[in-house]
Amino acid sequence: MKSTRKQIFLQCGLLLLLLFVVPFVFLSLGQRADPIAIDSSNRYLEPASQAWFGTDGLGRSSFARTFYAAGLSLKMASQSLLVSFVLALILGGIAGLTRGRWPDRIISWVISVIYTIPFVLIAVALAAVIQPDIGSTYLLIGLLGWAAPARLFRASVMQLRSSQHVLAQRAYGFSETRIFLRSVLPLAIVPPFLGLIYFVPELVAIDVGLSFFGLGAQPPTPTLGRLIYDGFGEVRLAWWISVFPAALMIVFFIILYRVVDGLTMLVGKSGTSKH
Amino acid sequence: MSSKRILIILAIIVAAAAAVILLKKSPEGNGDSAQTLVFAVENDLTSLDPTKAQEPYTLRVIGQVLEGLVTLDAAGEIQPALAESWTSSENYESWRFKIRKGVMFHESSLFGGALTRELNADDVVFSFQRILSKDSYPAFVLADIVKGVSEFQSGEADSVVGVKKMGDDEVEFTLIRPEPQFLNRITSPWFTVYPKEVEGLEPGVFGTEQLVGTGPFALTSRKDEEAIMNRTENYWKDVSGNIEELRFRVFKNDQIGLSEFENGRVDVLRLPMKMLPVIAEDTSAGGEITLNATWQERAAVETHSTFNSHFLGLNCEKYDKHLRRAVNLAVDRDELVSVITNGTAIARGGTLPGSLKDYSPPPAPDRDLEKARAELALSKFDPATQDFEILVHEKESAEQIGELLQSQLGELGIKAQLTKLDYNNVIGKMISGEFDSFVLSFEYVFSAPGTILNNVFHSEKIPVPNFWRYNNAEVDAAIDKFQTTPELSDANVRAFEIEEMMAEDPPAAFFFEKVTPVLHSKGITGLKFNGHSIPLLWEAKSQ
Amino acid sequence: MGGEVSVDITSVPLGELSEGWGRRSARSVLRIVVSSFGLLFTAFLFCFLLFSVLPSDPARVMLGPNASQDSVESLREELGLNDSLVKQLTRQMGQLVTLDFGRSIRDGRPVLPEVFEKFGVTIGIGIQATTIALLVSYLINLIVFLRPKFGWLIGLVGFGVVAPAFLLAMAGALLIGYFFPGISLTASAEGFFAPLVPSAIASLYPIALMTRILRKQVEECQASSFFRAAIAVGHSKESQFHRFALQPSLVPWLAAWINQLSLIFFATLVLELIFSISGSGVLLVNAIQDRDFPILQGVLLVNAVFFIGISTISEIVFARIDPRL
Repeated sequence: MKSTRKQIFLQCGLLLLLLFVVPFVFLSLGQRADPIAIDSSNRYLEPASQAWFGTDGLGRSSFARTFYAAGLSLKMASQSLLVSFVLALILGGIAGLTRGRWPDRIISWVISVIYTIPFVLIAVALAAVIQPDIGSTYLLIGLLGWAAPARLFRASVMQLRSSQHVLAQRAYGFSETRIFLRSVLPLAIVPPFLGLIYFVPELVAIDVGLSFFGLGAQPPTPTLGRLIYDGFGEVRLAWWISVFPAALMIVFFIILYRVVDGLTMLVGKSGTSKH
Repeated sequence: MSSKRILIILAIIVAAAAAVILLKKSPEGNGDSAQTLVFAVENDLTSLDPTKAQEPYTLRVIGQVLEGLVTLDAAGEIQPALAESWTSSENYESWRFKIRKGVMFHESSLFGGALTRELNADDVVFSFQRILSKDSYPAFVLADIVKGVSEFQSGEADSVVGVKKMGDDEVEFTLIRPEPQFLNRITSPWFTVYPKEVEGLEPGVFGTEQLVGTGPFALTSRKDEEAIMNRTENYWKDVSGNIEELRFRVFKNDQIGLSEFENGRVDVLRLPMKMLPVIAEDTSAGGEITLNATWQERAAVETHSTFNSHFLGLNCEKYDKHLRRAVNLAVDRDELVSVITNGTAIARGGTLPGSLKDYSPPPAPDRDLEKARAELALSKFDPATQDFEILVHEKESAEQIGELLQSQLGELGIKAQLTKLDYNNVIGKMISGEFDSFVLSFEYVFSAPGTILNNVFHSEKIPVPNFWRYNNAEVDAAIDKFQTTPELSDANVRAFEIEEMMAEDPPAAFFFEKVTPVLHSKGITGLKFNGHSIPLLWEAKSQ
Repeated sequence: MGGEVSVDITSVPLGELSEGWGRRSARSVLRIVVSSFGLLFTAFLFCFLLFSVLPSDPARVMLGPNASQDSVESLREELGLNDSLVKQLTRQMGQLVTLDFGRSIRDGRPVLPEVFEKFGVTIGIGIQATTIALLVSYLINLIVFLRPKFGWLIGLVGFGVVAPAFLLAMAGALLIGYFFPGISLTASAEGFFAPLVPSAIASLYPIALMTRILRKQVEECQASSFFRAAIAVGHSKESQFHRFALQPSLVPWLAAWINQLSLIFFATLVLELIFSISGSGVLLVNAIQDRDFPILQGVLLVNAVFFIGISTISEIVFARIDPRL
């Protein structure tokens, strides 16, 4: 691949690292400004040298809370996505390969059920039984989030397997495994991957929805979505409580999409046959 | 199609869209046109049936259309409404009401061709029987005092014997035990009267499609997002207001509500606490609010009190009185008042609101960490090994209060953990006893101290509504004596003594009593509220 | 070899029914009906499971925290909550078969009309939002195709995917309230076009997605040989766009449209809270909090029907457009 692309990759990856993971680790070691330390004599301070992002209604450092929340959200989101992605590939793959036969039927049916029943309902039902903490909640999201990408993967697999390219390879006598791994998989993986990436903003929103039922992070642990949503209630009074997490989140997504674009261009270049 | 044409089409579409947005969006009714008053409510008005009204904001709407036997005025006095006069027996166990004559119901197809008729005792009896049925939310208010309610609810009897018609214009209530302050139970819009014909309606229709009463306003239409009502012409009482049309509009989001208020589309808005620093220059305990210059031009603030109490309830079966005293001494009420209510609430040590007629509660304890630690040492609770869980939920800043408490109790050495569940879940846990402590608030519907104390602290009331499972024989005995205390001044003295008694053995850490500031546009005058926070909108004037 | 090898994220048919669709035989129809019923039944069972598993008590919720345990017990008897689970299950099924969805526990209103009304509102927003997205993505792509120097437009609308819908909603509400005080931010105006403001905000994300998808498809078409042939033959630019770029791209683009429509459904919750709209998102959340099972059941089943409907219709439409599928 071209060197400019490589550079973009590295730059963005590093930037992501710096912005999110490092402060998160730092803060959870309890070094500076504890994200849950209440200090009611310093409420609603504007951003200044004393408090870089200002303080919230209970005097807590917005800076600490924002970065802690960002790191937490990143960690949780990547866990869910990983689970969803792996499940989507496995189950979607099986369904795509056994098109029409019973494994496909069952898996497709499960996908339809997941689509039909609102996620919130399933989460609340399971929460009532298991009483999950924040880690299990995100695991739950992962266990349900595989449905949409699995569908895409399955469809891609089916489509590619009957494409002329693949038929030609079969005619040459290549083994099914080799065909799958080298011609089908690299291309089919792109739609579900993209789908999941574009879904990440909604993960933030889901967390807000869950908070209405007391699921997900317990107070006073901050999460990105809740910081923004709760901060909105005070936006006239203290705009910094919402704006900084929102800005950070937007920056994150811009970087993420750039990286993803780079990746797809990579695959696209080697996969598409043009003439 | 040339590209020029496309761009022209584009421009037309954009212009059309803009026109649709800007024109369609001018709403009907704002504070200026023809004496209309737009009143903001905080959640959907799904039903205006009193038996289903769980939230105070619904009662505010109902209170304009329906009326009861007696009512509370802005000064907290009981006033006759549909009952012209009343007498009680010597021992206060039986009450007889004389129903006012000549009161006409709102016009409705419910009455067939005649469109209306006069109120009579049958309607009163019917309404009370209905409000005491087993699926009615407010039934609990009278369930333990009026004779025959439990039998009616369990199905043994087919009516409540304690509510009886005694002639065309008299109704008699019979109580299980003496209660001199019985009237204070029925002043809320829950206990309002509507026509007997409602019985024939399909379930769910009354309150959604139909609402017929005798009040100063008649319901014109109701949707979940808005209820509209118009002044009736032949209201039986002379009132001074000039509002012709009332619109109760739903604003779930405070920011938007405030924004709409600024843009002149809302006339009355309950001020969200968080917005206070934006609007006010100065606030002080008891709700004295001075608006800043920008806002003084366009709005005014009324504050009114309701019978509310906010607290951290403790599990009295689990924790001994030393721990409970320690918690009471470790809680920083000033910090809570300043952070949660921006300094407008009044700190309290007990639950009885100071807004009760002629009642002054004992002063709230100051924070004293040393004493708290001494009490903690005496208690069996070991902060090093035992956890302390605080249940919080999404209502009334419970989460924020919990966070503050966590920090305050931390200074005492107690490691408190917050568990946030949804409100109904928390209530469920409280009732089943599976809790250490909970953050909650009560809005009392009884306007008398004895009734309140009896309901929440008498051991007979465990687990509901004595959620903290308080069991103190001395307090029980003192509460029982209210039955023979007819004079309000004596009752107040007794209540004060009981609160002092309870400070030695506190069931909870009571924090404060909130006041409610209400923002209204300058064109509205005469805006008054009674103790149940019902606005007396028939007295309001709009210029 | 046009579009087969490069796979777009939505260039694929939805649902499990795609295989058999070319031959519209009675067997396929039967299959659809059977699987639909299966889905509905699963939704119903799930709701019932939920009901038996959730800790709180509908009778207690209805009567509030102050009612005595005796009162709650009487109500439980009347609502049939003390019957065995099997008995309750069969009773529920019996009611559903006669299309009796019962009444809301919270306010006594019949379930089906209320659910339809609220769904109608949300669907209205969904249709408005996604149709706006359709129009805008079409227009932008047309403009960019004809005048490539407007390419920055694509980047501009791409902003819509960078934040979750609720953030856009909140920011949008604030900005509109500030800059356009004449526009009312609540949906108390009447009619189908009432929620235009929330719909416009809800359309930002679909616009971003659909513009990108269409753009990508169009670019690929432009690289293909038959497109170059079209230029050689002398078609006007407009005709090139509509006949040789747009038409082959219809399937993925419209598939994205349908996809967004289904997603809008429960993504509108925060929108509804901010703009005080009485839609299905708020209905669902309130029903869960109130343990209002009749309503929950209604919501689940109507949602299932809607989902099945959309899937089936999109199958038919796509089969028509592209017989290869």
